[in-house]
Amino acid sequence: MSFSSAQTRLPSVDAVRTHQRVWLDDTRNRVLAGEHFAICNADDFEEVFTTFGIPSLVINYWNSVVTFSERKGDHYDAVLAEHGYVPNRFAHGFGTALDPSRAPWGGLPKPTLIVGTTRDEAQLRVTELWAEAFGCECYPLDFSWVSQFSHELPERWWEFHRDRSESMLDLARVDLRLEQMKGLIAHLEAITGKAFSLADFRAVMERLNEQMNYWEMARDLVAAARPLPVTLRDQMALYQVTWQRGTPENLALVKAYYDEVKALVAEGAGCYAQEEFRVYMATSGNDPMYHGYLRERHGGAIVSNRYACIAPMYARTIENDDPLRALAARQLFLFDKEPHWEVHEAKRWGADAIFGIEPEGAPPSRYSEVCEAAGFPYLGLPRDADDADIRARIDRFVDTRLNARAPAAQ
Amino acid sequence: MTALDVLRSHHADPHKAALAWKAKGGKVVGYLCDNVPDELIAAAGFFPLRISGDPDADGQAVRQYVDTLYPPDVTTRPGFATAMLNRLLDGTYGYLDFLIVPHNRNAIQAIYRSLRDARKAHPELPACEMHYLDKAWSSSFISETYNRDQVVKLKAKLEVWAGAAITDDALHAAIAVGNENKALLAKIAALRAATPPRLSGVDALQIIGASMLMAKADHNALLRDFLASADSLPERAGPRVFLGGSPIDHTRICQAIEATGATVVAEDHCWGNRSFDLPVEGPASPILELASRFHRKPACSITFPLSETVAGCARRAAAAAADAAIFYVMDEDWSQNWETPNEVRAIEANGTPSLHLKQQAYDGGDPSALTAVVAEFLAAVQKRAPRRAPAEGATA
Ligand code: SF4
Ligand code: SF4
Repeated sequence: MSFSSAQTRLPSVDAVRTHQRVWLDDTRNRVLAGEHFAICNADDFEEVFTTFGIPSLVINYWNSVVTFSERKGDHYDAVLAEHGYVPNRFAHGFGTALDPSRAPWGGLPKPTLIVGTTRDEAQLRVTELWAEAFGCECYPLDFSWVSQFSHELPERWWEFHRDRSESMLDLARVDLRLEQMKGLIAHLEAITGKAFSLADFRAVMERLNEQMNYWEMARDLVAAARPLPVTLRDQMALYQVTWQRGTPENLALVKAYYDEVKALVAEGAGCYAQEEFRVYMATSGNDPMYHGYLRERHGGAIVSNRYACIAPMYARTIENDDPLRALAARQLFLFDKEPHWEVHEAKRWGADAIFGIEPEGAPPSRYSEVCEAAGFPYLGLPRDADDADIRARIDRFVDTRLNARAPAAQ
Repeated sequence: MTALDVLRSHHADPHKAALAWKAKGGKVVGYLCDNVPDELIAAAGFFPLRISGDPDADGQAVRQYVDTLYPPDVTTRPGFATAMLNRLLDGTYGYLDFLIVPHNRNAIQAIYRSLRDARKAHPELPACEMHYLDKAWSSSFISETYNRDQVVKLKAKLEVWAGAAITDDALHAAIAVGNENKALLAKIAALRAATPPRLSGVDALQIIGASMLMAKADHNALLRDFLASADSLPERAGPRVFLGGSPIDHTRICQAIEATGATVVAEDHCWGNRSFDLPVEGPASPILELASRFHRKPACSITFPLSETVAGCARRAAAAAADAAIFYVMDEDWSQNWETPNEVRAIEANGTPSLHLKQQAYDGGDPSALTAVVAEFLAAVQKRAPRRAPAEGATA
């Protein structure tokens, strides 16, 4: 068994970052040369743009570049406030259009259109304002993050994605989405003068499935290996490949990651110096600030989190030769923040405990009840910070809930 | 009691008319938001009751029964949504026979799932059968046909609840009563927008609000009665203020503004003028008329494109000849957060100065503090540009 420094990034993960930067430079040049470019939300219309050969930028990805990679969140908060808005992270991308002078990587070229997102009404407004700032069209497609839950999910819904995804959905909504997608495709054909090929689109969707197969195989290797071969930070960084789905380049990037993981597992490499116990994060955040403290003080390792586990849910089996319907259905449901699923993931990762976020002073949450009932000690922290209060809470939890346990039978 | 007193009493006790209806053996269908076609509910023989919140409640039931169910990033919502959800959980609306939750802003539509999950986790909570009224937000014809289907589905559900078909006659009658209500409320709007105004914003909000808490026919009778003697209402001096921003189902904000001596001559939210100033239109089949209002002209600001919401706001401010505009935007009202700056720009381009209050409390917070902020703003406005000359006949 060998341990690398926790600070080293895997070459295959670095390649993802490099690829994204090169892609953006290349896209800017193509747009300057008169080509089309589009902006859309995370699980929106990307595969269709890919089929058209139109580069598209995912809003959440760009926001995370602004906020996390380039640490320009404060600047763009100020820009948004100057324009009369209460700032939030989703609008940082819009902020770069209000003040392109400080935008990362030279800023974005003017898109042909922004796919307006009705994921929630505030996001719809941000996409509209962004389009207004660019002087381009905003074309909204209907989907609401909340309305998906008007249809009750089956138990063990996380097993339904690939093959039974429509049984999780309101079928009238799938029909609506399909109609709207066809409307936008026809609109793009008119704007670009290009014809949309269903066969090409199917190839994109199949490649996406293959991309997710590699992701899944890699994830299973990482989750099963002892010690943990890939840091949570690298797992999260790899998530960027899901912002470009079904392209040969991104398929190659994931495959390279899988190959690297396989080699790491074979040599028994570990990314953290110790793994006295393993923690799964039931949160949407990044590698938390207190992870260093948890490792150094208690030897505990955070092995994975929610986002590292949802990527494979993008895969969809194409039925009845209708890849567009498969995509429409996927766009309407990717995942639910739901404790039974997180317990399922915590088991996959061999976690000894689950950490979540709980508001200060709130009554016991369903998350804590479900996790505890499944045998996982659950720690709800009020925020992702590394301060004396958070450290004290972690110390107390480790002492009373983890160290106090009877040693596991060997 | 004058007609105005009766209207005020219904606004003060939003359950009064519904409970009287129940006492006579009728059934009550609660609904959230303005754009649920209440004509359909009435035509099915039910009492339609718009759900409102209590600004004095502390949201404890929501924290206990709903916020514990989901991660905290899923449960943020503006105060007015919390207030309504709280009442639906704490037993205040325990008398409802049915509830309709529309797909409007996320915080509203989430109430459907929240109630369903909370009742599953806590079977002791008050429960009634619910219907989710879906809606596509985008403005295309594809969405229009989808929304028409949703109105048809709602009709079918109401027929199941009623155990009888909704006849075209009943629907025509309900639409006619509803349209008369809108026409009478337009006269109320004209009274307060008159030069000088003859009605305070606080009274107007109570009158308009009561229309969603009473049987429309009864409300019409009271409106006719009130309007008959409207000529004798005293004229109001002071600045004319337009109120934009978040939807508000109580009068405290308006009260704090009018405590400066101003009159709120119009507002831009779904508990005020917006609820009636775009009436159902004919000629078509009644269902298509209702569907068309549902799709094209909801009082709800969650419509596409933004420019239409902004234009509607500016149009209302201009029609009311406001001297100044105040935008009261609640904390966590994210859609309003992104709408208001464009609305401010549009209104200021028309020469109306405005005050944009951000991240405000649903209950209005300390009323004297709000009054002081508004008074300071209005004083500055008056210094900047003397008020337009009083219209002829204004108080000497
Ligand atoms: S056609 Fe429409 S407006 Fe005319 S009476 Fe019938 S429902 Fe009313
Ligand atoms: S604006 Fe009014 S009708 Fe629309 S979601 Fe908000 S409360 Fe409901």
